[in-house]
Amino acid sequence: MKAMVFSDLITSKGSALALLGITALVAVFISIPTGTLYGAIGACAAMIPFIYLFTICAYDELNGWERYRLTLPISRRQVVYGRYASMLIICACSLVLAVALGLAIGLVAELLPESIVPDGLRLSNIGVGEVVGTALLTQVVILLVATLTLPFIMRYGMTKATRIAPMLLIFVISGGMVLLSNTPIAVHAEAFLGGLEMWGMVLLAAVIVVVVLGLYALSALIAAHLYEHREL
Amino acid sequence: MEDMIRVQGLAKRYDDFALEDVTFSVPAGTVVGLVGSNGAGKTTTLKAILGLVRPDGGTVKLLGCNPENAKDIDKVKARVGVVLDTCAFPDANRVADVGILGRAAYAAWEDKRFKALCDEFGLEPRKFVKDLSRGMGMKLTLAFALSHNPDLLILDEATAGLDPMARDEVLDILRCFMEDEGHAILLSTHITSDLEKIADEVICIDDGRIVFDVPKDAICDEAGIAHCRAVDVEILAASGIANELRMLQRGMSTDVLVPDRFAFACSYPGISTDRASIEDYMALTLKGESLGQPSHLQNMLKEDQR
Repeated sequence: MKAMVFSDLITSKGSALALLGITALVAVFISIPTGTLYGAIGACAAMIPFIYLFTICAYDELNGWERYRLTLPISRRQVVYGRYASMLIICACSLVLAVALGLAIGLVAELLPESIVPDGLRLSNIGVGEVVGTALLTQVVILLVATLTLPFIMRYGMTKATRIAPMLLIFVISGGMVLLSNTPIAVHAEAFLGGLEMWGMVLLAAVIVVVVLGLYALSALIAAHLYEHREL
Repeated sequence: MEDMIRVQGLAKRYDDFALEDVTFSVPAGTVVGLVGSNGAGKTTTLKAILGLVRPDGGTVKLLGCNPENAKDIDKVKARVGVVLDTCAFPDANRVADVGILGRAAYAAWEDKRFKALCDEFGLEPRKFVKDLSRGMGMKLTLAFALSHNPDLLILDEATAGLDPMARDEVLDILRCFMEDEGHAILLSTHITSDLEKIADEVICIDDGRIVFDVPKDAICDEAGIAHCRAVDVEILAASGIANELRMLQRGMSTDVLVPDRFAFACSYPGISTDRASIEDYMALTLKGESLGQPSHLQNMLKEDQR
């Protein structure tokens, strides 16, 4: 699995600098017109792992790399688990970067005159907890996207999976919205969240992360099973 | 001698193609060449050996293990160096990155050897894979395949895209590799002249089946091509050895594949006979017809009468 993680990270390192630069620019350009830090943090936390996921999977099909990779001392299961592990590493790095970027923009905003900086950009108005929470929530969403799409990518390859995965994502997101909006669940959830104290929120975030990581692990098991039967 | 690869009754069926009853082995100390036309089944055979496709029938043993479900397949694959028909490393990698990948993948990886081979092949460490020509890409894959001290090399069109001098360099490296009697090479190629320089055994696959599996010396040292006029063909067809001979019309003359050119020259001193190349042997076996079939002879005689 180590070789697979190495392979993924080595392959992505070439585009890392460019990606970081674009992310920083997008973050700044989102935060200025919206006047809040949330957009900047979300953009940074989402863009890097999202682009990484689809870029690294696209490289698999280029020049027959995924076929040659299986001639190395790496089993099919290790390929899948390595891919999931590298995605998790990138998500963790993006989380740290998003928090760092959010704090940096917030601190810079504190130093600038009030007349030219919207209140929503100031760290004193948002707080470190919200910066971390926003980055974490974005990562949770991205991990859910990976949870849903990676089994399809591993089974069918990137080219075929791009025909299926977006449709599935739209179905899940829109289905979820229809099910939850204007239902007693949504009303209760809103009341429940509104009543939570600081530590309650932290506990809830921890539970969400654990559940999503559990689903992610389950997705890895399914993807490994599917990949074992794929002919290359 | 221990068999490094043993393929027994291998079958793999696709919608428009089927590999049927492919049986051969690659003993230690030998270089086995796999030849055949495009789509004949060579790459499917190699894929089955490497566990990339699941056979529908038969068995494959790679260094004594089933490549599909062996628990210790990692250890088996660590002893095999593979070069497929393209440079497969991701475009975004540099030559040096490929070395880092090798270090992570193989316990027996030798960085010095990889760097030495890269130097020898003129591969600059900072160059991106996407900027390498096909030939240089193949050299990089070959350097990668040789840098972890494999016991077995599986090469699919490894010399394709290389200029003649580079091909000779590669063949020299393969010869050095074969100095260890415990090593073996399975080499699939369309460049049959490479096999004439290095192979011990030649296997030809056509339409998913093995057409011949013979020692290279039986082709290059013993077999011959007799260039016959119509009257010579008539004499040979009437001889007792007609069923052993295959013929192919080429322009004004007819080429006849003879299994022993020295014995043939003694028996038929009037017929000019040359050494057979693997390409000749393949062409006459695949496209040629048996001289013992009367219908062919009749057709030829009719042509001659006209």
